[in-house]
Amino acid sequence: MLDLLERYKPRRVPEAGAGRRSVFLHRILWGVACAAVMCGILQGCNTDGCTDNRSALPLMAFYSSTTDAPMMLDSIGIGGVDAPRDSLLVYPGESTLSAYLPFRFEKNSTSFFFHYAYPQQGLDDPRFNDTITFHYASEPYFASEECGAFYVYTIKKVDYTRHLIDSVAVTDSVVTNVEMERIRVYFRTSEAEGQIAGKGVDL
Amino acid sequence: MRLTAYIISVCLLFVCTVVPQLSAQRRINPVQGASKELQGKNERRQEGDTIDMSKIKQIQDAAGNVVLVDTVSGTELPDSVANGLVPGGEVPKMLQPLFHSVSVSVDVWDPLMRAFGQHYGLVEFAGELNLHNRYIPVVEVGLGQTDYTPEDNNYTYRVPVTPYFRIGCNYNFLYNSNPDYLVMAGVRFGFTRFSYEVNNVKVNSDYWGESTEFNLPRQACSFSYIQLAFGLRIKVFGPVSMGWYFRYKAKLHESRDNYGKPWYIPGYGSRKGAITGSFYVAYTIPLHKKDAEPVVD
Repeated sequence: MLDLLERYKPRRVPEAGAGRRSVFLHRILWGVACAAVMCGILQGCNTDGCTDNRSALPLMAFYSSTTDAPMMLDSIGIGGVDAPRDSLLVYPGESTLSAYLPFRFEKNSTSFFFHYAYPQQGLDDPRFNDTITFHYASEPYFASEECGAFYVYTIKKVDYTRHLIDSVAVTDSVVTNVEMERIRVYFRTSEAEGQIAGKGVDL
Repeated sequence: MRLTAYIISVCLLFVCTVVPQLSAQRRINPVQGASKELQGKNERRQEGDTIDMSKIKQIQDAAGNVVLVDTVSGTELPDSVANGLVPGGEVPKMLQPLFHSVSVSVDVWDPLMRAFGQHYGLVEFAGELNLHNRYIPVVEVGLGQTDYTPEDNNYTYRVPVTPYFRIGCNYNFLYNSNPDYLVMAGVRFGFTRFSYEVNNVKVNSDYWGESTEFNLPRQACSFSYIQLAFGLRIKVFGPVSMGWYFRYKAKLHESRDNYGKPWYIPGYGSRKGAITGSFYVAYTIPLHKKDAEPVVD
C-alpha cells in the first residue's frame, strides 16, 4: 500500500517535466534570438541592389516596316542633337537591335539623329540623316532605396523625318527606370520609297 | 408358428428402434417465477470488495483539487479522476483565471539593429492583457524615424519622429502550463500616418554633360498592414521576462503618391522583405492572488 501511494505521490509541475522544458525553451529562445540577430546583421549588410536602371532611360528598338520583325542594324550612327563633342550613342560598325536614349532633364524636348553609314546605297550623307524629337514632361521620382531618385518622363509628342524611318511608335509613354522597350522605330526596307518630308505624331 | 413369431419380433424391434427417432421432439420447459431482482447483482459480493465512497475521507486543497486521505497511513492522494487529470475525467479548459495578468514591454529590436547597421526605427512599447493565460490582446505603440544618406546613392531620405500603432491578439499554446513560459502565435493590424522627404537628389547625365540637384516635395502617406507573429517568452526573474517574435508582414493599403513610394514606413520597416523581428523585455503584473501550483498525478 505504501509502495502504491509512493508511486502515485503528487509531483509539482515545475520540479520535473517543466524543468527540462524550461531548459529546452531557454535554449530555443537564445538560439533563435542569436539566429535572428545574425539574420538582422546579414540583412543589414546584404542589399539586393538596384535591379533596374538608376535613371529613366527609354529603350528604343528597330523594326522593319514591311515585316514588323526586329532589325539588326550594323552601320548606323545614333547621337543626340547638340550633344557635347558630337559624341554618339551608337557608332557605325556596332551591330545593334536597340539603343537607350537619354533625355535631357533640363529641357522639355530632346532630339536624336540617325546617320546611315551605307556608302554602297549612297546613304552615307548627312543630308539623309533622320531626326526624331521627343517632347515630354519630366517629374522627380523616388524609385527605391537602392535605385535612388531621378526624373521620370511622360512623352507628349514625337516628331521625326522620314528618309529611312517609316514610323515611330511609343508603346509606353511613361518612361521610368524599369527596363522595357518603349519606343519602336520602323525603317523602310524597300529602297523605292524616299520621302523627305517630316511628320509629326501627337500621342 | 415359429415364422409368425419371428416376423412379429422383427416388427417390434423396428417399431422400438426407428419410430421413436422419426418422431423425436425437443421439449423446453420454461423457468417459472424467475426473480428479476437478482439481475445485475453480484450475489457473491463480500465486505470490502468495492469502495464505499461515503466512507472515504477527502479534502480539498487550496486550488480546489480533491485530495483523498488514507486514514491508516495519513497519506494524501489527489483524486485524479475528480480533478480531471486523467482520460475519462472532465478536463478543465482553462486553469488560469480570466484576468490573469497585464504586461508592458519595450521592444529593443530596432535599437539593436541600428547598432548593427540598420538606418531606421526608434523604439516600441506594448501593453498586454492576459486572459486565462491563453488569449492575449495586445496594443503596440512605437516611434519610427530615419535620416539616411546612402553612401553609394544620390539622395537623403528623412522621416521625422512618427508614432505608429498596432492592435492584435496572441494565442498562448501553453495556456494550462506554467505561465512563466509562453509559446505564442498572433496577428496584428498596423496603421501609421507619416510624412517623408527626399532631399539633396543629385542627378547628372554623362552624355549631355548636365547635372542638377533637387528636393522632392514633402509627401504625406497613410499605410496599413497586417502582421502574423510567432514567438516565445520566458520569465527571467521576478516579474521580468524576455521574448522574441518573428513577424511576417504584408501591406493592406497605401495612399497614392505622385513622387514614388516610401522605402521606410514607421512600424512596418523597410519596404523590401516580408520578415522582421522583435526582441523585447516585459514587466508582468499578476491580476490575481497566486494559487498553489497545479498538481498532476
